[in-house]
Amino acid sequence: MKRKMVTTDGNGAAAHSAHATNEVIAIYPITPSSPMGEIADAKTAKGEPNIWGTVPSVTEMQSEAGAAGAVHGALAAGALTTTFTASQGLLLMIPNMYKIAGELLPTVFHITARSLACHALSIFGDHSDVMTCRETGFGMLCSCSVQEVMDFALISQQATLASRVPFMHFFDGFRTSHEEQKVEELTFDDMRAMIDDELVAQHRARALTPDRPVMGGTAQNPDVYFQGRETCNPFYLATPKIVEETMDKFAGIVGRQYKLFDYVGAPDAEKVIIMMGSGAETAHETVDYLNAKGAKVGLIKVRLYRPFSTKHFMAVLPKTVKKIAVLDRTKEPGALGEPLYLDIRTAVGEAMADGIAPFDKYPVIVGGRYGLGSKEFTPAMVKAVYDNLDAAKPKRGFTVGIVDDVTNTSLNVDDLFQIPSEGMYRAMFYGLGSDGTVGANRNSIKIIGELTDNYAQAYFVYDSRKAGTITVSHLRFGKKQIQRPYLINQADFVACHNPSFLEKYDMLSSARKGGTFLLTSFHGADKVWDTLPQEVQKQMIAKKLKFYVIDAISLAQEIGLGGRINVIIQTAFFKISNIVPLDKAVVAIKDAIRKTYGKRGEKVIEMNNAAVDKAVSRVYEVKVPAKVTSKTKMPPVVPADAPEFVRTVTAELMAMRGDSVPVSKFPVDGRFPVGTTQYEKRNIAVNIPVWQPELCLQCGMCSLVCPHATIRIKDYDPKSLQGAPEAFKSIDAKGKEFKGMKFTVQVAPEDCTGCGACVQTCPGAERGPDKQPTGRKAINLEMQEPIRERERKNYAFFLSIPNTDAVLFKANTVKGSQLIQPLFEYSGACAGCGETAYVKLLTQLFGDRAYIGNATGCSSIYGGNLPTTPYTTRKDGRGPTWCNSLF
Amino acid sequence: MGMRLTVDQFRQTALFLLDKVVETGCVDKALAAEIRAATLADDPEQVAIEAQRGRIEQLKKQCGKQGDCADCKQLLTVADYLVRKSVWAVGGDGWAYDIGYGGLDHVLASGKKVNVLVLDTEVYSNTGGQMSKSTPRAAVAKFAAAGKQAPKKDLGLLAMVYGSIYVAKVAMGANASQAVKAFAEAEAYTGPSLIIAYSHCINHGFNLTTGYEEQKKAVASGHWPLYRFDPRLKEQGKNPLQLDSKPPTIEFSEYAYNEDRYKSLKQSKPEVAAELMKLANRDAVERYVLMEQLAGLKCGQCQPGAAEPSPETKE
Ligand SMILES: Cc1ncc(C[n+]2csc(CCOP(=O)(O)OP(=O)(O)O)c2C)c(N)n1
Ligand code: SF4
Ligand code: SF4
Repeated sequence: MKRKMVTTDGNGAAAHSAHATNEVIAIYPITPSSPMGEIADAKTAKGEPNIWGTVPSVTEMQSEAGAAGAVHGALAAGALTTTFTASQGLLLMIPNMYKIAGELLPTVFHITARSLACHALSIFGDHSDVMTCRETGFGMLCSCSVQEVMDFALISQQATLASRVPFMHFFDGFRTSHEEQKVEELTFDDMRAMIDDELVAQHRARALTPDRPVMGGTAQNPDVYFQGRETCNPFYLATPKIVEETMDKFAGIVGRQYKLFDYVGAPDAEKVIIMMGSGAETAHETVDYLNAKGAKVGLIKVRLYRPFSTKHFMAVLPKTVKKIAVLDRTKEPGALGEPLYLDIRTAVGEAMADGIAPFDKYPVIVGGRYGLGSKEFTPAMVKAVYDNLDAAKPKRGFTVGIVDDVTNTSLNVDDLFQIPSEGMYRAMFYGLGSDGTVGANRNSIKIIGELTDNYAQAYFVYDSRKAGTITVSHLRFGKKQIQRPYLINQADFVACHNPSFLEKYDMLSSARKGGTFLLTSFHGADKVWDTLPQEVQKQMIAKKLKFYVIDAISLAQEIGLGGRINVIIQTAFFKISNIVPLDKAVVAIKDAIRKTYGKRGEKVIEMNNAAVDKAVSRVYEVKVPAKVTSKTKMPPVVPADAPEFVRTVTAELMAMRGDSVPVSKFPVDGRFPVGTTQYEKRNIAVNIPVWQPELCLQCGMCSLVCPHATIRIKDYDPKSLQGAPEAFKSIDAKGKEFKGMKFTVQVAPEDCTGCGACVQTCPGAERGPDKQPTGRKAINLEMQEPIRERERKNYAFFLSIPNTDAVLFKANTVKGSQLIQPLFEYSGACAGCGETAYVKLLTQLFGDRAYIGNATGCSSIYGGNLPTTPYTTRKDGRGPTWCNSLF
Repeated sequence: MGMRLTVDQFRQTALFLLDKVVETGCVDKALAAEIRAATLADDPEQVAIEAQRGRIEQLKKQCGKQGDCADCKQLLTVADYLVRKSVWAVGGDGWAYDIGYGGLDHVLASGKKVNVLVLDTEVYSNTGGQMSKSTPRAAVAKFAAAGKQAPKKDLGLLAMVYGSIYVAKVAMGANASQAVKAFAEAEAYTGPSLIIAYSHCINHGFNLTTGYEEQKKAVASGHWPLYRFDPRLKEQGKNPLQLDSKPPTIEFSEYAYNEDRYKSLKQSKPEVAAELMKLANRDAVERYVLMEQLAGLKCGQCQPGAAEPSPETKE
């Protein structure tokens, strides 16, 4: 039977197999595993059955500890049960994992492997979490790609039933869990053929039931606990063979053959890398490339890591091997080496002792770390690892992918090393978080995947703020399966969705020579060139880029789509790239629009369709002049008078150059200076509030409700007005306590998000002659760009005015609280967030003496996510001290 | 919690050393007495705090002069703890109602001066909007694609039954002064405090420009009764619970159907939605009425402590 090709990500792939082969699913959200639970829940809500025709129950628990407890109970009671988690969540499951394994209860936990909170929290991928669970007695099976995730989710399900050993099936968080790929979808028939119903029946027969009562989980004494612990050995000894047979069975049914250890590369390789996870795909591609150029290198992809089978491992290791590099995506401070490395050394040592090694000289074996917290792992780094093996004394315990100038563990990487991309089209989109880029690009790869025989891959890089974020989409298409789990650095097509990005990021450095650049700009084809910074013009000329513009923002507003320019850019992309004939693409985009926005009603669909039609004729090609003409340069990322740490570290992170900041620049204990959001002028507001003093009641409501601390009030001595900018507004203060003083409401124009909450809340309404409100208020929204400079100066002056003396007012009133300086400002929360105003109020009332222990959640992310953080200090240096606290 | 324990410990250490440095003659007796008195008074007013900071500056100067007095050196490391500190635990409803509830309950029951701020978005916002026990009945959330069946947990009520915890439910958009007052009272209270703050969120599915209007409606529907439960009032023979919002003037559904989290179920499963909304309407009214009844109890007449279990208080 021919199987359907579908475009899905790793989470979708795992959920597909897991929902179909289980009866009970207990879940708890944690990034990046949550989508597996969400998909399972949605399937169940829709009544989708598993392969036995029943609809699995999906239950959210109060924590992962609860989820694991529920899994244990459900398994003991005989149901096929699964769960999904990662990182801290997996850590909370550990106690129950020991029990589940100890009781030989078959289950598969699907894990998006993620970093652990150590010096800092990271939602990104590495193997720290799963490696922490090595001792629980769970089997460990690792997938490297989206297709493998779907396949291994099924293979492990059958293997656990056959072996009674529970499994962790893991794959790289984000890089695999969130990478979209065109894959072959397993059918229910495949699954029925794979899962042995007899084993399911045996599992049920072992269930706890009052109909056949037994005692499980007794307490044992020194006389017997140890012996009991050894009873499971035969099961672990049998498991590798069972997994091997299951993989063979899978190959028989589906066609894809996997092994416990897959060797790729030269049969007579002398240098071999051993690793697992998505990085192995990169290494695979690099090995093929290097060998084609005459090298003799090889790679072992570890699939079944636990139980570890030395016999199977030795069977694939070429007998010519002289040097081995073992790569671990985790860190174990203080250990002799990371886990995989230690295992390989033990395996080789024991094999030699037993005489089953294919060589008689102990090879050189070194271990190293890569890819922690989703650090990029590229072909150049793979090459660096092989090159290290060539050294007279190869580095041990090395790192690759960073610059470690403290203990000098890092390998030098030749950044120019690239694998050519013939027959592959690479596109990058620099979008604004809320403009719908990601959704549109997902649709694009589906369209290309479905309308052509191209394979497609999409990966999205988000910055961690919630409002006004930049999202970079990386899309690849080609006739061959795309085996590149790393970002694009040479793109055929680069799109910039917001002209302001050009001043902040060097995005053209990732455009290839002769590539195409599509810019969203308010300026037409005749004017746009001169608006580009010099640096951009230079690169465009040097790289001979083709240049297109589209005024997507105005077009979207014209149609009524607001800031959602996604479909417009998408259409422009199809028009320019010509991957699919334009007329076909237009039909497909409209199809996708119907699917995506169907729920929102006909009007939304019509508007988006109109956007498609108009976009086709609004893309203009611009001839790139031969000379740089621009008078503007990219401004410095932070002002020259910013503190040293902000200039040398924070600014680098803000400009997306954090990857090259060396180890020595970072605090050793994860403690960073406060008050850094003030250096990041994000300018994300289209409109900002402007104050109209004579309508103002001076109540302070605007300041209280502002989620971003970007509208502030002060009562002050009129003398302070000396030297005020001409446009600075003030009015006589109301209230007897402020008699003779002046009052001002001032907006921070570059930090305001334009959410409009202050204007909406303002009670100072203008009334017309008929006493009816005119709609104008004491603050009103106006376009930010034309008044940015003016208000920037006003705000700077406002900050220089001394704060209102605390003896003049009561802090426990609305206005009083707002006369105090907020010590939480310009956070990256969503525009209009309802949480932040409370946090701000807390810092106004008690900030100078506050300790804040912040449970993980939005408040810890907008509160403490790099590059810049919003908690700040008063003039005397006092302010809230903050720490994230685990649940 | 650990922070509070440390701060209290350092404060004790500093007071102990304060006596010693007076004995050694390094520090002026009158100054030390003033500092001690202010430390024990622990006045939460800003003016008092700044005054104490001024005294500590003097203390540090006097200690700093004595080159090799070991006690002075010790005192310098902890002197700042003689100034009032404010310890806060901040988190969302996923933390407070679900995964962190056990720990939260323990901290609140401990009697220690820890303030808790719950930013209640009624979902796990950070992970993309999954259901928590704070999610109201009839709302759609991730992991509750078919609409939440069970009603919202009443965290405030659970905390109130200890009797010794300051508890407030606030919604800045509905009553700003009540919110500000609650923060100030919570922090000034000598025992633990809990503030539950209505927080609109993009996961609710409406334009956040009108977020504070939604807060008004949440309160007007009875869904989010505003109150302050101040154990100190008991000493004055009063009911510690003050209800700060009026009886419902709109149906819960009138508030809820402004938001996609409720609307979407109406679109996808109208019958289920109608059934759940009926229950949710009732939940809101019942919640308000319960608070109203509790706030109406005449507390002065019962024996102090007889109505509630009396957990240990700090004093
Ligand atoms: C043990 C553990 N499980 C899960 C998570 C994932 N996680 C991050 S924030 C969060 C909760 C967010 O919800 P909430 O507490 O309501 O805060 P909000 O984001 O709404 O402010 C969860 C479950 C985690 N960090 N640790
Ligand atoms: S528009 Fe929003 S962010 Fe800007 S000042 Fe008003 S409330 Fe603050
Ligand atoms: S709580 Fe605030 S920052 Fe978090 S998702 Fe909601 S609106 Fe955004």
